[in-house]
Amino acid sequence: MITDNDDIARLADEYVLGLLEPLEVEAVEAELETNSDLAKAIGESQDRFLPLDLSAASERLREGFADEVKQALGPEQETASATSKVVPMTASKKKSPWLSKQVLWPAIAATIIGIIIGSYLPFNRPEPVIVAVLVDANGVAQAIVEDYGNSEAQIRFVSDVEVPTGKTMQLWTLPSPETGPVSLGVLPGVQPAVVDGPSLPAPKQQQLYEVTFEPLGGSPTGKPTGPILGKGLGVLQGS
Amino acid sequence: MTQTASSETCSVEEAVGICATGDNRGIDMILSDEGGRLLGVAMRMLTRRDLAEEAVQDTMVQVWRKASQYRAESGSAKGWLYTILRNRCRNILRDETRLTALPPDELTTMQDARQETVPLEGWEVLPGTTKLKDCLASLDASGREAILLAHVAGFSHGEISARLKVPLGTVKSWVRRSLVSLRGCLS
Repeated sequence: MITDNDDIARLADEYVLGLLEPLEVEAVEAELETNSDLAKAIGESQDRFLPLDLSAASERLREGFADEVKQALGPEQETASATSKVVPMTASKKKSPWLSKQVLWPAIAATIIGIIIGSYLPFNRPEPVIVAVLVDANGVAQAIVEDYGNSEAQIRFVSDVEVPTGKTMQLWTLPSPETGPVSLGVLPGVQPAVVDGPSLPAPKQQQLYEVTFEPLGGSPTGKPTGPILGKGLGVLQGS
Repeated sequence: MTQTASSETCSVEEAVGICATGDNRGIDMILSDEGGRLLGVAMRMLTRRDLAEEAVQDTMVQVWRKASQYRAESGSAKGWLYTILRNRCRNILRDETRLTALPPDELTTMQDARQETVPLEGWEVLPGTTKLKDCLASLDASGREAILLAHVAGFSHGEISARLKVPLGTVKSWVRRSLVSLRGCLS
């Protein structure tokens, strides 16, 4: 939970200006669910800068555009009702199909996978402290990350991942919005791999993990710059 | 269509509330009132109509899905709406696979056009007199330029650094200092 007023104001402004890294955006949006001070700061920032948006010259929408948009709304439109179309994240999450797919399933899967790993892991390796299932934009699982909390993490791919020519995959985590995304390592390919990242604080419940496609050798900026293969929130494993 | 839905003066708040009930007339209301300007903001950032239309469409899908998460006590629905749009535009700009699908000459044209979105000199984005305009005018030129490039043109810290030919750390410092000044000026 971010509580420092200066940090909240800075994060809110940089979120609204689009200057946060993708993982930081994810963390801020996740924190919005429970941090009303942050939500208020973002709302105030949005309104402070709104005159810049309203300064744009209006463009004429072509005929039929609204109909195309409504066709793109997807099945949520058909199942929508006054109370359960999209359940607020602060309310009953079980009723939201989107949340089930994007958040709850990976979390449940991470818990189950953690149990399986704990039972059958054939390697002589400590049990993971936290497990995250990384899903793509469609909610399809791409990889499983097991973070051992000692700077080592293991990743296994569970989908047929195609790495674009001239690109490499890089694993990231977000210990906190203040820290920003931290590289756990450049991945050698789609085979299971153990990365030895920097020394970080112990992983926390719902810590973000992400794999991006980066230039060969890894991100030139030290932060994620490329398209996201998958991302997911970690689930702490029981002792 | 209800009397409210057909009103030309409906607020975005009202339209988002209608979306939250599962009634897609809220989408019509938003597009009727703000669609042209939404497309204008997206055109300003993306410079291509096809991408701008894609961004507006994606924005409306997000509004539809997130309508019940909007909280009026956390700012205006209009501010929320335009932030979603600019986020979507930036996602398109930073989706390398998305942009490399464009023919190389078109990509070059687009990137050149983006450089013109915020001219380095003699550019004032806000018409008339507003408090924000006054406060932006009170900033150092470098900080003001960095903020406008980020907000209006969707530039990242790295792109601003390249555009203004200063180190990345300097850009971050300018932006943070300017944002503190703006908050103070506008409070």
